[in-house]
Formats: sequence, structure tokens, C-alpha cells
Amino acid sequence: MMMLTLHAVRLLGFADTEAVAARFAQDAGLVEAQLIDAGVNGFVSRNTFAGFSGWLLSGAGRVENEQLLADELDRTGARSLVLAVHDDFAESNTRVVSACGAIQLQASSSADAMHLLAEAVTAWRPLEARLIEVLPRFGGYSGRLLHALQQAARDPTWITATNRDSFHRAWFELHEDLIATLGIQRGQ
Amino acid sequence: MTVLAGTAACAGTARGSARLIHGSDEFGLFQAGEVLVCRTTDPAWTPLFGLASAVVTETGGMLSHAAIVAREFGIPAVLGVRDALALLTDGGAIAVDGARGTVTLMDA
Repeated sequence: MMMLTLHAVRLLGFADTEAVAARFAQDAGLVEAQLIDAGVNGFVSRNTFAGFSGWLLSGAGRVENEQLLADELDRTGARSLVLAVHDDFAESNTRVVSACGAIQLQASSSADAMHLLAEAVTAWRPLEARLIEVLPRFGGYSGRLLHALQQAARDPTWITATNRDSFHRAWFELHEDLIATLGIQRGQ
Repeated sequence: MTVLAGTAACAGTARGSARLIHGSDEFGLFQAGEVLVCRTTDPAWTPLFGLASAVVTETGGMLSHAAIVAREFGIPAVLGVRDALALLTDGGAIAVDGARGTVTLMDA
């Protein structure tokens, strides 16, 4: 499904075919064909930089992605639900980013920050449950966040590392998912 | 010298050429060691942080995803620099002080 393929590239940011396919459990061969088609249309490009090779969404691809997501919201009637979930998420987001920063900077409140992240996951779980009733593609964030927290109990780098599915990486992706779905620009 | 001010998001200093990146279509223009200057960032921008000597954004602050990612890569970050894309010149030499939250135009 082209919508899921483009959206996977959007969420992952920069990823190879296998990762794009895995994001929404799609067939890798089908996804490769869709990515090539999307490349012909100027929606994605295959790039190599910073030691990575992968697919990147273009400006035109971003517009197409948001149009397909808007169509999905119209088709499912989920716009008001996603808006409400986004509002609740935004309240948690400030606290989560602050807590991630406290842990990175090894502030004295690190233990409190870890507790706050656990509370944020607890607050997110019912929101995710409501979302996946109409938009199943939002499934999986709670599990990823919990897994990162469990790993972080032994290795705190699991909170903000960029080279694994850390707590911040999953949370950042969730934030991107919500604003992409609603067509909101970052910083607004 | 012209000095722009923003939020000190990650300590450290760096000097380099400002590379103004307006979106993913321009990622290929970015070279290792340059200072990434942009409006905002999302997950796609993370690999650029690995190449950049510093980052300057127009939006965001201490409580932003860009601040978290900059700290992970250990690069100076000054965020929320108003009109940075208009006031800085692509390729111009700048100095970034991530502790003071300043961006100094060296050519001016």
C-alpha cells in the first residue's frame, strides 16, 4: 500500500527497503517496487550520506504523504480523535523531552525523570488503544517505549541513543506520526 | 561582528561554514564539518547531526527533539535563532557557542 510505504519512510526518516517494509509488516519485494515507482514520481530518492544508504522522502513526497494521510482521516472519520489524542500527547511531550534532557545531562533528578517517562507510557497506552480501533497503523508504540525503558533500567543510554530503538527515538517517531497525520508543521 | 542569539541547547564551540538546508531535497548539499542551519528538524535529519560540527535552528529550544539529538552527537546547538535562514549566508563562516547561545558571523 503506497500510503504505508511513503509514511514508513517519513517516520523512519532515512531507511533501507527492508526497514521500510518492516515498519508496517509489508512484503519487502512489493515495497521495493513501490519505492521505485515513488522515485519515478519524485516522492523519494535513494541516497548515501553520513555512512548510511537509504530512502529519503522528498518535499513532493512529503506533500503526497500528507495528502494520502488526509484522505485516510476523511475515509475513517478519525480526524477529531487524532486531534484529541495529539492534544493529550502534547501535554506529555514537554515533560518527556525535559526528562530525556535531565537524564542526558545527568541531573540530580534523573530518577524522577525515569519515573516520569514510565508515567508518560502509562498515559499513552489508552490513547494508543483508542487510536488503533480506527487507525491500526498506530499500534506498537507502547511496546517499543516499554522495551526501551526496560533496557534503560540496565543501560541508561537506551533513553536517548540514536543508534537503536531508544525511548526518545520511538517518542520522536510517534510525535512525527501524529503531526504528519494531522498535517501540522513542526514549530507551529 | 554580527552576533545572533538563541537558546543554548548543547554546550561547546565550533567554527565552520554555514550550510542552509531548507528541506530533505537539499540534504545532499551538506558536507561533513559544516554548521547545519535550518528551520526545524524531524527524524529524517538525524544523520545530518552526525556530519555537522554544530546546529542552528530557527525554532525549538531546550525542550525540543533537536536539543536531545544534538546532545547525543555532542555537537554545539543554538536553537530558536529567529530568522537564522535569512540572516546567515550559505557558505559563510560562523562561530557557534552552544553554552552562550550565540552565533557569530565571522565574515561580517
